[in-house]
Amino acid sequence: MSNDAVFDAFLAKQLEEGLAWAKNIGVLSLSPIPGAPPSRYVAHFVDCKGLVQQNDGRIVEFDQFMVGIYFPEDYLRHVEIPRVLTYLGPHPSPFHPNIRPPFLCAHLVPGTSLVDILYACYEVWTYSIFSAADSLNPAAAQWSRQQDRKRFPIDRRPLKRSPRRTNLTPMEAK
Amino acid sequence: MNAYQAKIIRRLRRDPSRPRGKRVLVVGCGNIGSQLVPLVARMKGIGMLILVDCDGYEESNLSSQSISSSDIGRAKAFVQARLARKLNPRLRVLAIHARLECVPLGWLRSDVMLACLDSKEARRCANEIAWRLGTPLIDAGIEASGLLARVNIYRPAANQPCLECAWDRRDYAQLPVKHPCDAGLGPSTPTGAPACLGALAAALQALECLKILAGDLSNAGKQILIEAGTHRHFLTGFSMHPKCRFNHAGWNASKISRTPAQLSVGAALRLASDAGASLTFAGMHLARQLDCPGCGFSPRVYRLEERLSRRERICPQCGQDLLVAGFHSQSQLKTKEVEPVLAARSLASLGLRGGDFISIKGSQRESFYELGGAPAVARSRLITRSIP
Repeated sequence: MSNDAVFDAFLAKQLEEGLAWAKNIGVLSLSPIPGAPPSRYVAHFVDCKGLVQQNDGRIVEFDQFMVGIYFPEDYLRHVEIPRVLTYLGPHPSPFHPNIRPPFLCAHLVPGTSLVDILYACYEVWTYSIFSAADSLNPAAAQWSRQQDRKRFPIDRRPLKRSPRRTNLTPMEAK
Repeated sequence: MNAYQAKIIRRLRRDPSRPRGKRVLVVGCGNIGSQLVPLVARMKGIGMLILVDCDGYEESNLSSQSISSSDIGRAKAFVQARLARKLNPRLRVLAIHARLECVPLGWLRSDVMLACLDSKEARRCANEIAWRLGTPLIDAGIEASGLLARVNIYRPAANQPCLECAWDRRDYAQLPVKHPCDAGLGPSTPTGAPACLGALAAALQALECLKILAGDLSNAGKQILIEAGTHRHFLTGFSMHPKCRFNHAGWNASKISRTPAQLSVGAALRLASDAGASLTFAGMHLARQLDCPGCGFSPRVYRLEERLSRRERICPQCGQDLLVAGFHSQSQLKTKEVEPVLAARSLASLGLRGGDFISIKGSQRESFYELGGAPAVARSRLITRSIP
């Protein structure tokens, strides 16, 4: 526990919401690194298509990635994205304008929730969102500019689906 | 013992590093700060003035700041320090040419802190330092378009509001965010305000400073605003936000005589009797590896990220800025995880300086320590320091 009740409450809420969301969407394994409450997480997305560059230079689809998320003590008041997000693999050469291991660039503001961070990471990985202007990987930025925009996103499945539980009961005939 | 011997003994017993009179800290020597320094230098009862600014004067500053053309190209803090000494030759001055967040907290101990800053982020930092040190803060600001000059007075104490108590999520969203794809935070935007508006804010700030030094904190938690366009004067009170994102904690640090070069990591951990203690660095992070977003060069280091010099941050292969990824840094060293090699390393080798704070967190409590070796201002009348 830190001496900061507001930050501790934030962390506790992220743990609860993050685990519930990960369980709900099914393509994410979220592992909190022990702490009371945890301030670090390893998120392993599976079955999410992004692009990687193979040793022979070919650009191919790859369906998993891992990202480390760290909430430093001043996270609610100040954000440094390199400190919050770390690309952890498993592929060493992701091909994306805004990813260059170990950095992953996404839009965050102080206090962005864990679920929103994870969603932002998914959007970056699948090319739902990318910025070719401020790029970490110039080759990927140039490549993405040359592509037909209809090619993106690589994975079109929306992630933030909350299952609708509707109980349908047949109406009785009058 | 005769009277003469008693006088000598009294003189020897007096702490030479503690000058007589009050200490005033001025952060920012721009439009408001450059008008404020002469006012503070002329105040009675001031023993020491500490000036902090990371910039130098430019030609564009001539129209709005209290400087002469010969000051262009010089560090703002050093220019104002010399001016203050001209006005009051008895004044001890410590001028620091550095970003506020890079200055060891022990150097900033004062009776009142006067913030003359031009960005929200810098104000957030000043507010945090004031509360950590328990120093009353007078924050001044101006707005050119509305001809507004204001000062806010804060007193770090229980149930007192801080600067961030009045902020909501939109204020935080306006703060600059450091991205790995840019070379850091750019320079702040000039306010474009005339010198007279800065002088008005400086005068208000100096008046409130006099009151605080006289022990009058009745304006704490209030904002004094003058709308010069219509000559209206407002006094607004603030209250503490129970869910303020800043924790309002003070760091009541004990001074230790050993300097960072004389204290090892292991010895620092032994300051606490708790076997499960951990060492933290007053909010700073220990980088284990640097990474270049340009060429992928990734040297291993063991240095505090906030204490890396400009030279250490440049990639030797491609010249881009080296960054620290969150999973390649840590905010604390736990006793059980510290290897013997690391335990033997001095705190100076990690980047700590004299006057820096460390804390030892045990299972029961957290204790703060100020490392020895802060600039001894009594030995000289003017000390200048640059932190790259």
